[in-house]
Amino acid sequence: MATSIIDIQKVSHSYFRDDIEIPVLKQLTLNIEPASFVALLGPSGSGKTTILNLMAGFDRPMHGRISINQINVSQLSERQLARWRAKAIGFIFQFYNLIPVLTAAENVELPLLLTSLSRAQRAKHVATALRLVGLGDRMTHYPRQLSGGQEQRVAIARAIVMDPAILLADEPTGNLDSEAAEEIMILLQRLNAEQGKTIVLVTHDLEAAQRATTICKLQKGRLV
Amino acid sequence: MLLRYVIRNLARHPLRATLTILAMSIIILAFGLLRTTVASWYADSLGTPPDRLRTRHAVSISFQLPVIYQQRIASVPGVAGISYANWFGGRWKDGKAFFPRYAVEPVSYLELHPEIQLSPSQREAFLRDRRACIVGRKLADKLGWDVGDIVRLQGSLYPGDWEFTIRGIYSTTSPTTDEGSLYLHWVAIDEQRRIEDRDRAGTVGWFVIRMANPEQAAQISEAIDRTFTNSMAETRTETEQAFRANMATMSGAVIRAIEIMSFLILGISLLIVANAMAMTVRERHHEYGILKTLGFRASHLGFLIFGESVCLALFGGILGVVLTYPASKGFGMFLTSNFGGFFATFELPVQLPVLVILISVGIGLLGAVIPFFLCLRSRIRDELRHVG
Repeated sequence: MATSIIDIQKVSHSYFRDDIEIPVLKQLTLNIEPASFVALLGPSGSGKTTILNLMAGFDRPMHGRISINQINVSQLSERQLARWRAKAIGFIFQFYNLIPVLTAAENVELPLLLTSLSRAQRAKHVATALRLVGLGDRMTHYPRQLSGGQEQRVAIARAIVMDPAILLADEPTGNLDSEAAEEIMILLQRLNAEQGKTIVLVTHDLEAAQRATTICKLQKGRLV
Repeated sequence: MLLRYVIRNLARHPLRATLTILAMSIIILAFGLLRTTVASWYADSLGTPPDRLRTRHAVSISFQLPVIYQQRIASVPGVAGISYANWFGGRWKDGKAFFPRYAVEPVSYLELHPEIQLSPSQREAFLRDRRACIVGRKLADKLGWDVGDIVRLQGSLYPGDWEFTIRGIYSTTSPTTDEGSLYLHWVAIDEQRRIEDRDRAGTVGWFVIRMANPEQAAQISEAIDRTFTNSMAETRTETEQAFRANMATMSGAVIRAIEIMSFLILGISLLIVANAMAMTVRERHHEYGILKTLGFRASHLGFLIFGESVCLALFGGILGVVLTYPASKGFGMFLTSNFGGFFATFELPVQLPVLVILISVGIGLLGAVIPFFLCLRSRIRDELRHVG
């Protein structure tokens, strides 16, 4: 049996609203193997985005432990987290979250600015990532000049340009029409199959979840 | 590329950026003019020749000295020349046009003040006529006077109605000597005083002394003042530079108020920039969250936020300096022609652009401090949820 790339052990987490504790995750345990494509499926409020936030270190679990590639994420400082995140994780958001004043190429280049790569090397990586998502001819376009599906593909290029082992996707098709959503899911499948990326997809859409190799259903903070 | 990002961010709210830059430039313009006003006020004392002393009453310039002190001062070792002068005061027409009026002993005064330049014929005409006066070029141009015109003054220190014929229009070789004054014969007005106010006749406001060796200024000053110790009118002798500086300091409260105001308006500019940056950072909360997810650290975000703030302030500062030069010409002309006695010259300090750049950078950095820390304090989870 392969070692887990993502190891979530008995994680509990709550939010507080006006001093009222709202439990979100309850003793959740989940192991994700390298190069797998896991969909976390569940209704709103089931805790799927919270798991994603905890995996990425945006939040620290109140109880339990989360290890990514043998690293206990909860114990990293903010500075260490930032460095680790830049190398280990790629994010894909529902609303693409591209920087509107930067071109597609510049958006993709952003994570590379944190490395010691030269400008030419960065340009090469950017071109490769954009070609991989089928947007090699849209490098100089601004987000406003792209369709929703194209924007999401630029976001995916940005997520993979650092060649992270893990991609965390939060409702990546939630804001797209069915045709564009289909294209994005095919792209994610390709990244999983051809590039060996471990993908954790958070969705409430069963059709999208079915593209994954494993579906984990969440209900009120527990896996069911 | 981050710098490109900063510059493009500036253009995201063109109206806000333009208004902030304009506000900053107007403040820098006002700052430049106020600082130049203060510098000009003191420049008059800094540019004076080093070989001249002034002797006045030890108590105050408003007390008079007997003119007969002249011979005793002249006999002090090291004194190479002496003249005397007094305020004439008075009023011209309705009194709205103010210009300094001095009663002087013309021969020695012009000799000791070579920076007052007159043509030989005008000089001769002025010296020959006791009811003559000379006026500066700027004053003549402003009031439309020419040689031969009659200037009618209503006396205050020397009561009565006075008429003086303009016999010369002087220019000056010194940027710190103004061309906005009027000089007349002390003897002419003293003659009148001997008739109407005998007690105050034969007195002068101050003596001007030329030293043979400027390095002996302290010894000569002390020797002069020692000469009149325990007399009815003790003296105080100082270099002309110190004398003028003291005169400037007498109006120190006004100048200090201007100085304080010049720094206060910088405080306003700081608030303007800080407010613009606070709005900007609040709107880009979500975007900063995205950058944090990509691994951007405090230093990168600091570069973006402080960079934008410094650019805003710097563009405003540069525009302000550019505007200050033409504005200072008009403002300087106004000051020198209306307050020539106080502002002989009005020139922007050469270091102003550098000073403004430093101040702008400082304002930019300070203005971004709070927005930056607010950004750092925010959690990614909350920032991603934020809709700007």
